[in-house]
Order: sequence, then structure tokens, then C-alpha cells
Amino acid sequence: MATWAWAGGGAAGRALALPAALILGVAAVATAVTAFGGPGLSEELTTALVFLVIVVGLYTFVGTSGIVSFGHMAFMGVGGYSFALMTVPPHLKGLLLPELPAALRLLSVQPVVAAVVAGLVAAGFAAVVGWPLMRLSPLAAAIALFAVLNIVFVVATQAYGITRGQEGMTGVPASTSEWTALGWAAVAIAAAYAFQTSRVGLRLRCAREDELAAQAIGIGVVLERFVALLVSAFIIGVGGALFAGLLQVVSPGAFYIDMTFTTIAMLVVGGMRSLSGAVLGTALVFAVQEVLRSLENGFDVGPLSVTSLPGLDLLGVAALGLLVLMARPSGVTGGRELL
Amino acid sequence: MNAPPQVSEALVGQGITVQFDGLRALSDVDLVLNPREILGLIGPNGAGKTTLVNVLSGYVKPTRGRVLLEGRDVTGTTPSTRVRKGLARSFQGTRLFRALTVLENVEAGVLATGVGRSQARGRALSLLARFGLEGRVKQRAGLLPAGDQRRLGVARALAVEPRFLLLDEPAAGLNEVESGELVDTIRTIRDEFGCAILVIDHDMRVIMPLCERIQALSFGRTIAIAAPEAIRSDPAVIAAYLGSQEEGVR
Repeated sequence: MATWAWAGGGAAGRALALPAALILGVAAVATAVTAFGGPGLSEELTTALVFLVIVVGLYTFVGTSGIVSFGHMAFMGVGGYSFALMTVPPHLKGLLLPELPAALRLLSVQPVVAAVVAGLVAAGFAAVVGWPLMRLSPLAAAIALFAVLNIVFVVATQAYGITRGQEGMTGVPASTSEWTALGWAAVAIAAAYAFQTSRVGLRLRCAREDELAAQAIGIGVVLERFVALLVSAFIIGVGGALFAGLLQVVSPGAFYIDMTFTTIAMLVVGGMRSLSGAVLGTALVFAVQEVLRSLENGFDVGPLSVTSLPGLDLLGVAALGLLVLMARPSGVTGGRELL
Repeated sequence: MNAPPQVSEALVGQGITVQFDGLRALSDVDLVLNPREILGLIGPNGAGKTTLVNVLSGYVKPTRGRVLLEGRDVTGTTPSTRVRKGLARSFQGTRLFRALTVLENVEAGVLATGVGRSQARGRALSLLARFGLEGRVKQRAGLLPAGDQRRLGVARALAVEPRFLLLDEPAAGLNEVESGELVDTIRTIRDEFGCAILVIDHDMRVIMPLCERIQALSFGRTIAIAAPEAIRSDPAVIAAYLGSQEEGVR
């Protein structure tokens, strides 16, 4: 009885320890960077926090279901464009997108509310595409989701009347400060943790481990995967809105192959089967990327002078991803939580 | 043991035939698992024992025949539907959720009964204590020693509170002491939980003391259904075991 009381009584306290530690860790790093890094690093910090929201959203699906989705940045795109359509001032929309229906043109929503609605629109889109796709086998679902990303990309480039195509939608108000991004990162971490320990999340992780054995305890898998897809699409949709509010522009290239590759690399490096891995991987890959990007324009090594190395950051991330895959396939966390 | 089977209360396989690409795994096999009984299913390798359990639990669709669960035809339903109707199984080689904790493995099963999260945890803990695994609740299931993995596999199947429990070689790989303990545990499970249990095993030291009736398969057909003592001396059973050069019937 004593052991049970221990396991039951401490459960509530321990249940909050991991998300609290992750959120506090992220907040501490963010505060330190703001205090000592100077204003120059503020934009990098905000970008890193927006990436964190997106990678945690990706983890919510990939980590719990075991399906490595190559298409989730579609939800980022949907979130980003939804946010832009709600927040670009009406007179600007009239100039940029003269064909836009009046109802959309006159729409003007507060950025905070618009970010939530953007997440909901992304989740709604996920509900439409996800219902048939979640019946597929994991590999087929991963490829089908990639097809969805390509469809969204093509629509974004060609539906000029709503998206302005390759030119991108400008005039998005600057609405993503580092504190907004930090707040959403905390929400994303808390939501991902709540989901993975929920009834549906636990049963989905069982199916991830062994689908046949999961069926033997009544897990049908399709519904569980569908719920995970909606939760992750919402978080990533919000991430897309934050990204738009940071860059003040939404364009098709922003949520396509590079973004897919970078976010998956972050998840792989950290360890895609734990929330701690998603957080650590984002920090690690982002840091490496920033260092390499600063070297891209040339640097000196003693007497040697390297002039210019465009693409060094992507190369570095690829190398880091390969290294981790070969030396420690389940990521730096080994797929475990830190607590 | 000769009580007439009440089909409306039992798990019944009627005329089960399974054909895999020209290979006939099962030919017209009948099986009745009565409420609260322990039935043994024996036979040499390739006799069709696991295929029969797969048909009963919904993992393999029979080419012909039907499966009745307490009188309802469940032949076309999925494994998870059958779990909700009171039928659970374990697997050869356990198939645990290896990266999850021991507690999570059982908790996920209890959730199938429709209870809430905290109640599921409580029930999982008491079930684990029942199997002597209370000291291991926080460990990853994949890291347990073999004996504990077997017991966890049975505990997880039992977590869904079945009225019919199918155990596929629960004692495989266990030593004599461990398999003796498992026999005791399975018997008390039946007494405490009141469920019927079907046990597949090669090891006559497990089957003989445990089962009230034994059904023997060979080459996909039933060759005998009888009480343990009668099975031991059944000429067809002896011939099947000797013919396959398996360990003899002890």
C-alpha cells in the first residue's frame, strides 16, 4: 500500500514538473539573451521562439504517433495566410488584392485574436484532409501529408487573387515581440505535454510502439491519430501566424521545403519521441544555424581568409542531423524526458 | 467437464477454415470456450493454434466459419471491437509497448474499460501488485527481465477486464520455477476475475495441471478434446507429437 500511495500521491506534483521545468528553462534563456545579448539578438531570439512553437507542434503529432510527417508545414502556411488576411489593414488589402471579396477585405482582427483564429483555421484544414489520411499506414500517411504540403504550396503560388502568389503578402503588422513568442512557446509546451499524457495521447503512444498489440487493448488508432493531427495543426498554425507577424510578410517559400527540412532536423537532433527532445533540438540546431550564418559572409582563420560560403547554415544543419542519426539515432535525449 | 455448452454464454468458433495462398492452416475447426473454464490448446508446431487464436480475436478473417461471442456473430469485426465486447488476448513474444513504462502499459489497457485517467492509474497499480510488479512501475517495459515481461503481457491483457482471455504461449522462455508461478497466477486470475481462459502452450507441465479441458490440433484439424488425463493417453495425440518429433507428452 505504501508504494501505491507514493505513486498516486506524488503524481499530481510530478505531472507538472516536466512542462514547468521546460518552460522555465526556455524563459531563463530568453531573459538572459535579452539582458546580455543586446538589441541585436532580439530578432534572433524571437525567431528561435517561433521555431520552438512550430517544432513543439510538429512533435505533438510525430512524437506521439510515430508518423514522420513531411507535410506539416502546410498548416504553418494556412495559419500564416489566415493571419495575414485578418491583420493586414483593409486599405492595404484593397490595394494589394483588389479581387478579394469585400468580407475578407474589410476584416480587421487584433493580432492576438487573429493568431488563435489562424490556429483554428489550420486545425479545421487538418480536419478536412486528415480524416481520410489518418486511415493510411504510417509511411503512406507521411507521403500523403507531403502531397498536401505541395498542394498548399501550389495554391499559395497560383491563387494570386487571395495570396499575391510568389510576391507574397506584405503589410502584415509587426505583432510578434519576443515576449509574445515566449508566451506562445509556453502555451505550446503545456499543450503538448497535456496531450501526450492524456487518455488519447497515451493510447496513441501505445500504437506507436506496437500497432497490433494496441488493437488488442481496444485502440483503433485512426481516431487517436486524428486528434493528434488537430492539436499539432493548431499549434503549428499559431506558429505560422507568429512567423508572419515577425517577418511582416507571408510568401509560399517560407513554409515549404527548407522549413520542413529544418524543423524535422530539429526534432531528429533533439530526439523525436520526447517533448524535451523537441525543445533541446530546436535550441541546438538554431544555435548552430546562427553561428554558421554569421560565418557565411567570410571570416579569417589566422592568416587564411575565407571570403564567402553561401548555404553554410543549411549544410551545417544537414551535417549535424546526419551525425546524430548515425551516432545516436534517437536524438540527444535518447527519446526520454529529462524528468 | 461434460456440461452441455451454453452457446449463448460462450466464445464459440464454428467450422473455422483458414486458407493462406493454397496452404490450409485450419480445416473446419470447432472450439467452445465456456464461461469461467480454463481450456488448453495444444498441438505440434504448425498445427494452427496461433491461427485459431488470431481468428477468435479478429486478427485473421476465416475463409469459412464464424465466431460467436456470447451468442453474437462477431466474425467480421475488428480486434478492438471485440475487446469492447469482452474478449482479450496476449501475444507470443508479449509485444509490450517497450518505450513506455510498466504502469503506462497496463494503464492504457484499463482505459479501454471507459474509466477516467486517475481511476485507470489506481486499477493499473493494483493489477501490477497482483502480478508482483509493483516495484517496477516506473521502469521502461522493454528493459524488464523476461519473466517480468511475460507477466506484464498477461497483466496488460487482463487490464481490459475481459470475460474471455486468450493467452498465446504465456510461459515460453520461462524456467521451471517461473512457469510454475505463472500457472498459479493464471488459476487465481480465473477465480478472482471470473473470466474464461484459453491457454496455448507446448509445455505439458504448464497445460496439464492448469486446464480442465484440452483441445489438441494437428495439421489444422481437431484430433481430440478431452480432460487432461484422457489427452495424455489419447493415441492420436501421442502419434501427432511423436510424428512431429516434438517433446513427448509427459
